[in-house]
Amino acid sequence: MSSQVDDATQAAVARLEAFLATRDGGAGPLRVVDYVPITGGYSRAMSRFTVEDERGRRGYVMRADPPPGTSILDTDRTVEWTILSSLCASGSIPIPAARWFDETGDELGSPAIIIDLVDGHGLPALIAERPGDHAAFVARLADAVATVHAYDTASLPSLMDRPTDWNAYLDGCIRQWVDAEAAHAEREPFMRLVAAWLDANRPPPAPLTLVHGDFQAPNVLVEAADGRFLLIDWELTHIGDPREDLGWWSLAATSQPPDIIAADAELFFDRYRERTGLGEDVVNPATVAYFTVMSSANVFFSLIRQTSAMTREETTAMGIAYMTNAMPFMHGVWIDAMARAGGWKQGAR
Amino acid sequence: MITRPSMSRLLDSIKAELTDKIIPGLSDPTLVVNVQMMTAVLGALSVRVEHELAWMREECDRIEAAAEATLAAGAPAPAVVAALAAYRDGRTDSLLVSAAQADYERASELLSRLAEAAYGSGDGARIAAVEDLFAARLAVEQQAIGTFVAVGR
Repeated sequence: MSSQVDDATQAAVARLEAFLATRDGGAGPLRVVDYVPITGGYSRAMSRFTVEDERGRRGYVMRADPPPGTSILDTDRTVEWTILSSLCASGSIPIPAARWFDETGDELGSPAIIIDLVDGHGLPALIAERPGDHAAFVARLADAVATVHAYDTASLPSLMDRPTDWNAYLDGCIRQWVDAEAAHAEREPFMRLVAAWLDANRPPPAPLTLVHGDFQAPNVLVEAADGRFLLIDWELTHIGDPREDLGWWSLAATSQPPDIIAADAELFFDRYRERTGLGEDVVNPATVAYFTVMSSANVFFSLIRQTSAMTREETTAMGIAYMTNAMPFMHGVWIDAMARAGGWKQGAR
Repeated sequence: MITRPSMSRLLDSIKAELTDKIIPGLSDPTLVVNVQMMTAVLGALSVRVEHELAWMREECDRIEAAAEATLAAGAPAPAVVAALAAYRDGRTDSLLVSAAQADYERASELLSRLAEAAYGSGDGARIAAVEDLFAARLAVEQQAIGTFVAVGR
């Protein structure tokens, strides 16, 4: 087993050295060392590595498509690269630099994006190690996500969908729940419940903004040098309601506690409202709970597409089988969020 | 046929073997996560094989009764009428799992239509009745999987 792993690593290193020689080379022989697969993500095949040559050492992260039928998220690397490149070029969004892209996978084995390795820590580790700093983290999270939501959407790549207005956007989002359920391998009444509930309990509208799409603690890196918060994993980014990010944070934190925003909600919401100019009627725990339900669509729809593929015997990927356990968990999150939003009359379970 | 050890017991034994002997022998973190996922799925399967048929049947009966109550109260709900008829026409009461799943599918569609009709009406009592049905469904689902923790993260 370990020799298979070694063979795979050696092949990946050889491909990277050949790929980078023409892009990051030019300073003597280039070597890729310390290549390590990164576990923890369920969608992309991630790895980190160091490049050595006469210019010195520099670290990178590769986000590659996994073998077909094994990811729980089906997204497009070309779209991600186009958006990442645009955001990097703007200089106003806190993200690691996106360096190179193998669109076809001819050179790296599958379509892959290479970004800078951040010298710092993942936010979950800091949350665990520094409980006394949670309030400071919450304030910086508010700043980071507010920066995303303040981004000028007119400068985003043209391939991104641009909803005409908030109501039309919400109509489309709600319709997707019904359509996705119809395409699923079995009937899923919770999805139809969600669609009916979302339609009957619409919150006040908000301006449509850039939405990260997967705003959660594991996707926040903290730079060692200056403590700057950087957001990673933009594969679900889109233009939508900014409260989707806040709602998704709450959902993700339920499966990976603690939720430091919920623990200091007043600080977070005050700071976020101050940064974005949105009022308390628009951004508050109840409206965010509404978007906890709605924002789960991106991941949940991908999940049921994959479990449908497993039902049709198109895949045997373990990660997909495992995610069948996540579906009841999501159902519970929805019901709890509906209660927090004030639209589940008997309260939480 | 052989029924002992039960399917649940066999699945629990496989899960224990993977947890206690296989995982400690693995050095590749990706494979460790894969096997942890397997044990989580096996844990849920162990509960499902014991209860699934009974749970499906009980929920089908609850949904059918709720639909009858909705219609008996005079609520105009043609989509519910059609789904209830489809459920009754197709019902097999078979103990074959695939047939029981087909019955459950039709009952699930009936539940979806009850929810849509209730929220569409804005009637608090109908919405509350639907909430009861979903709360019961969720309780069963969560009994099967226990607490979900994202492994490897």
